[in-house]
Amino acid sequence: MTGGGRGMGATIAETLATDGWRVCVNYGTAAEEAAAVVARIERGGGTALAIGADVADRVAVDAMFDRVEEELGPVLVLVNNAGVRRDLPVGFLSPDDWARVLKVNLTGSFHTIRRALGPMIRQRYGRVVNISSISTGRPLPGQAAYSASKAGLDALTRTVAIEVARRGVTVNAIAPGLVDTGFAGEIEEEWKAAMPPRRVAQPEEVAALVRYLSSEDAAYINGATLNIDGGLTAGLAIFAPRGRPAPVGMAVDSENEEE
Amino acid sequence: MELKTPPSAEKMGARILEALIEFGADPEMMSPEATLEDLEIDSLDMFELAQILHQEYGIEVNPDDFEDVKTLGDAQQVLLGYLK
Repeated sequence: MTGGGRGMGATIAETLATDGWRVCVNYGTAAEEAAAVVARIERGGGTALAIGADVADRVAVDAMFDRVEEELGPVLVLVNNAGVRRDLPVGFLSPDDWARVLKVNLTGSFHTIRRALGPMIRQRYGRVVNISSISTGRPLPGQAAYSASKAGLDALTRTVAIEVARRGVTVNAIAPGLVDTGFAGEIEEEWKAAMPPRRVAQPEEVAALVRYLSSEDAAYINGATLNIDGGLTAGLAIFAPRGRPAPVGMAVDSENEEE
Repeated sequence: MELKTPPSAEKMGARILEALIEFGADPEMMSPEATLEDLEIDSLDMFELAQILHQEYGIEVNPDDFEDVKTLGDAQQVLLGYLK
C-alpha cells in the first residue's frame, strides 16, 4: 500500500487489514502517521509493517518489496496511492515540479508494478489497484502535471491489464472525485453543494471499492478505471453550486428561460 | 549475475522445457527447430520463464538477448549461455 501513512491510503490499508491481508504501509515522509496506522492495525489483531521508501526511486522500491516478501510473504495485492501534486498554471510550473509529479505519480507506479508482477504471475493471483483521479478527463485549472500523471497511470493500467490477464492478475484504477481525507482542511460547503449527492466521498467508500477489486470476486474486472465521484463526471461536471444561477448558455429551467 | 545454485546445463534445459509445457506448449512439438510461435509461447511466457530462472538459479535474463530468437533451440542457446 503505497502512500499508506495518511488520508485515503491509511483508510485503505486499515480496511484491507480487517480482511486479513498482511499490509505493508509504505510512506514517503509520513513516518509517524504510518507507524500510527500500523499500531491501529495491530490493535485490531492484524499484521502490518511500515516501510519508508520514495516510490520514484526504483532501488528503494525493490528493497521495500524484498523486505515485504521476507517479512510478510508474497505481494498479492498492490495499491498505488502514493502521489504528489504541484498545482500551478502551466506558465508558473517549473520543469522540476512537473518532473517530480510525473516521477512519483506515474513512474513510481511503474516501479512498483514492475517489481510486483513477476511473483503475482507465479502465484496465478494478483490485484493491482491504481489510485487515479477524475481530473484525467475533467481537470481543474492548475492541474496540468497532476492530471497528466494520472492520465498516464490510466494508460499504464490498461496496458498492463491486457498483458497479464491470463495469469490471474488484474490491474484496475479507481478515479475518486473529492474525498474528505481530513488533512486538506475543511471542505467548503460550496464544493459539497456542487456534488450531485450534495456531499463529498468518505475515504471508507473508496476503501470499499479497493477491497472489492482486491478480492477473488473481482476476477473479471480488468483494465478498468472506475469513477467513484457521486456522479460528478456523469453530467457536464461544471461546478454549479446550489443557489447560484446557471452560467449563461447552460440549460435552465423553463421559468428562467422565459425571462 | 549472481547464481544461487548453478545448475547443470541438462538440469536447466529440462527446467526450461518443463516451464514451457506448464505454459501450454505441446510436448510433442518440442524440438530445437520448433518456433516459439508454433509452440504458442509469447512474451508473457518468456517473462515468467525469466522469473523462474531468477528465483531458482539467480539468473538475470536480459530481454535484449532475445531480439533474434525465433526457435526453441535459439532460446535455449541464449538461456544456457547465462551459465557460462
